[in-house]
Amino acid sequence: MARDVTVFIATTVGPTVIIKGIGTAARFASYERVEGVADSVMDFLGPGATRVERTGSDLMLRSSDGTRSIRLDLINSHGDAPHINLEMWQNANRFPGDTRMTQVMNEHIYPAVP
Amino acid sequence: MANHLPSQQINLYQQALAHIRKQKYADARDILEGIIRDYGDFERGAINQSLGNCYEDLGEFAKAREAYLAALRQESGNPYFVDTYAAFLRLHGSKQEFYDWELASIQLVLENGGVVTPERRAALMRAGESIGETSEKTTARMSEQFVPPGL
Repeated sequence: MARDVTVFIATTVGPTVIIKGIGTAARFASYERVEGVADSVMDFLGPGATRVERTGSDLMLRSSDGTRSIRLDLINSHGDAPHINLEMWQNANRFPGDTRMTQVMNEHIYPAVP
Repeated sequence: MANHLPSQQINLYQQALAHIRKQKYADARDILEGIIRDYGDFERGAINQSLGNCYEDLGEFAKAREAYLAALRQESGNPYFVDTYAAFLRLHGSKQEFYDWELASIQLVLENGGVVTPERRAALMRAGESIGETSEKTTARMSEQFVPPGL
């Protein structure tokens, strides 16, 4: 859904969010309309993403293989300003069939009304 | 409206995750312990979860357990947290603990529309049998509502 606000990307490496995989960066403009970010979000998660219930976020979506997730903490922002988390995970592989994931990236996106 | 978290806090957390990506778990552990000490877990349990990962990889299993439980106390329905703790208990917990948390993890997978692999289902059945639970009862419990055990 289009909303007339802009966002900026707050990361340790300036206006860059790694969305294609570890080591491969895609660059957002410093300011971008939310609908553009929504397209990037869907690119990030890939097809088959599902909603995760029972979290404290307003909405959490996870990729079909569990290696990527997005959390919208816009209303319930747990003490922080309203934000979106882009998260990446790697399989721990500690035993055959180990399904658990280790978080390897967590980027914060802060929407801001211009 | 709340202010942004200080960038230093987020930067420290991202430095720790960068170390984890490079499998430098001791370096990540040191940063994460400092974050918890100075700021607390401002990421709804994710910092304790990452700290637990580091402890586990460093062989500090008692600390790993405490960190995983701290994460779960902040967000008991997070599938990443529940799945990790169940897998940890498979390696380092009692049969009863593993059964309880693996069952809970599978309940959460099913609630979130996911698929449980036959291997995982079989492992749960074996764990159940080892503590006297019939496969019929375990199967029935898998479709019950998720409840985090003993938090």
